[in-house]
Amino acid sequence: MKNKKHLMKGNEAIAEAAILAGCSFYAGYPITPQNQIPEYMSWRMPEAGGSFIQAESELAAINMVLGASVAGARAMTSSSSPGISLKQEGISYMAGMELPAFIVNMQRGGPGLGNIQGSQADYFQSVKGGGHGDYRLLTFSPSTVQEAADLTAEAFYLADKYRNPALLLSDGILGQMIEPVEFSENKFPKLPPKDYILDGCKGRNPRSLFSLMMGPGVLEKHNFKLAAKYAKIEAEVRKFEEYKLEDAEVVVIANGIIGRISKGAANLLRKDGIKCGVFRPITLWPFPYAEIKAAAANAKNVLVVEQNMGQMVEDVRLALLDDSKVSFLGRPGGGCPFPEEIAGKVREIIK
Amino acid sequence: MERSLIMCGSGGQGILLGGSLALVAAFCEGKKVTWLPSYGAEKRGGLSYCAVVISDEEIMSPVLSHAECIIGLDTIGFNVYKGSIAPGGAFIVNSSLVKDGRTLSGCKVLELPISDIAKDVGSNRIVNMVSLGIYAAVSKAVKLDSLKTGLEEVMSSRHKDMIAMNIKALDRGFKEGGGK
Amino acid sequence: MKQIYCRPESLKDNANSYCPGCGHGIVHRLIAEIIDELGVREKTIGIAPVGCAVFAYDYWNFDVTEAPHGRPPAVACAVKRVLPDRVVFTYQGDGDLASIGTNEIIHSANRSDNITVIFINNANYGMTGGQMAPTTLPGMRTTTTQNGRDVKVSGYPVRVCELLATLEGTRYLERVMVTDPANINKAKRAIKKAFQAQLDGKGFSLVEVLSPCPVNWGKVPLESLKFVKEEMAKYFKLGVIKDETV
Repeated sequence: MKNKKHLMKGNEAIAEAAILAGCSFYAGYPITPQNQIPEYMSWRMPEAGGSFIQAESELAAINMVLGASVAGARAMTSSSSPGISLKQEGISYMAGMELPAFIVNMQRGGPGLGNIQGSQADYFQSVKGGGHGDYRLLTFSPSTVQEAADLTAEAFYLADKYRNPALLLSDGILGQMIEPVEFSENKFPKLPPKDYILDGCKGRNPRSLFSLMMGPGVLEKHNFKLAAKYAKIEAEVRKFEEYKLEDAEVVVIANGIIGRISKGAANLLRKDGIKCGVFRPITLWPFPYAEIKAAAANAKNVLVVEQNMGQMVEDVRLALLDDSKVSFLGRPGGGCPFPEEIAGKVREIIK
Repeated sequence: MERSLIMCGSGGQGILLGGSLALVAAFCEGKKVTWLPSYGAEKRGGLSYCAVVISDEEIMSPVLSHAECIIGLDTIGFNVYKGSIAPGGAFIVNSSLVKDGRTLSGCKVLELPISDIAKDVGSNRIVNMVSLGIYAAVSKAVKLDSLKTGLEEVMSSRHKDMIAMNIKALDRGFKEGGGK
Repeated sequence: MKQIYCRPESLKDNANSYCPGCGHGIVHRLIAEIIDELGVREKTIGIAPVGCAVFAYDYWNFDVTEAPHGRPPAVACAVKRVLPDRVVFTYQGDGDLASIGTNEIIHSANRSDNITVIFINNANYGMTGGQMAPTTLPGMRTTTTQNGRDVKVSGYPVRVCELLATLEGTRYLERVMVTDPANINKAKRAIKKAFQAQLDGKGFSLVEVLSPCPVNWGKVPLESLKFVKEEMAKYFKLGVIKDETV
């Protein structure tokens, strides 16, 4: 598969990238619009020598991933919004137990059963702690099929490196669309052997993995330790794209597929002499607060565009600490803005 | 230059396969491409749609507000997307099923009895291929030969015996569309 | 002098936190003895539940992980798929297995995951203070059925072994009780057979252990043992429910 361009759906490219990243365990439960991931994994994973399980529920699937991670495998699951809600239990436990895992959320409209169109309504759930407890989830938002594949490989690496679950937060559009993708050689440094996994205590003392810490001060100490880890990740991991920002008077901030469409809007506006640029966060946690502040420093206006009614915009406001510049364009419930609509909103706010 | 195509109709008309053939053909020509389908709860009947973008440069938006070419294969698709043609674009209308083609304005309209042509070639199931032949002739966004080459890739193995008839359909569509 | 009794290697030298008269300590020891006898301590991975046995890793001297409430079978399934030559077992209470984890246990059994399940049935939620469990007997008082379990309100006790017996994937199901030396020996034979079934690659096995919970039942230990024998064993019939290991 490597070093050759393939035409693949986003969902399939993520699955293949996972296999090539050494993922040897997948468990999932059907839900639209991510079904191509379990379908692809059902034949590809056994071919690659790993295990595929169609679980009885999302709860079982995420807990199977937990088990596979306990046993030392690179493990993943995938779902879409309602299913990801169910997985929050296992995600919180894995964060507490410091177990790596890779989780894909191909977001759809909500709340509730919602619809099956693309959406970004799970931003809060992903980066503000969808499950209980004081934890963080490495969160990546791709804008092309190629980037989805590349981030999948990186997410597995970073999850192992930091012993933390990682989430690919994408949407139905990217999952369903076909684009060329090329799988490259694994470019990440070799990690030390996992010294925490349970594989039988031959030649060592028995180990245990748990998140229940009842002794006085034990959990507080653990939370401080997790916080220190999160601070380290925030210092070391931060990805974003800056598009035509050098002279930008208007900065559009958007992630994922909307970030990409916003670049189209910037090009439309530039044809009319409006100096528009785009800042596209790629890691949503850690969120590029400082970089956004710098990117918007010289701009007169900032427009945040999301497929929801205003979630990431709160982090942009935190980054800028200046509400006067910030406008918002939201399309909820599976709605998707075209470049023309974003360009129109920019024209409106610069008037 | 960025070329855009919307193919629309009903589930079962081979819309998604047709669109992906345009995608594969343009990809083989070294172009950047995106293909975005509609996806619904039902497998048959109901609106089916896909958007294809072909470009020499990075494609920003795989979603299209307007396309420079639309293929409307039945009234369900036509009615939803009749307003989505870009000014000066080309609307290919299957007049076997869609009677309102003449209501379009501000664009080039090609009304052709695509279902009847398909039946004449051999099967009602190849309306998608006839329409793609027309598209190649009208838009010149992909070459007829590239479409033929792409067939091998998009046809599932259990339908390989259909390739010859699909090639006939592409050729016939190309001719009907005025291609030479 | 010949040593005839000692702490099994698979049991840590830690005092357990179980209440006086509780059955967990007995079953923990039985499992430890069996793991020693089978010589698999260094390749065993235990999955602890949420409930009184959540701290099992403090007592067993082999690898043990915690799992979310009710999910041990899903965790065990994955551990076994990743490490097929290890011995993998879950240890679950009645709330964990027969209430919140019914989906997981049914589908693990149905897949015939090659794991061993030790199911402790003490007819109440011990750790949270004695609430009604799916296995609480009709008329039995708990902190959430203060006038006794009313089957019109709360339904009937779930017979897990009989329920699972209908599934093609279950290979060995037996119900035992830990009330007296003879029955404890029977329980040990059953649990050992369940582990042996896994070593022989037979598939899913489960042993249900009727176990006393004196503190939450409001009975002294001896009365609790009598309750297991005379009341619980009447509703939950002892013996082999299904055996397809031969």
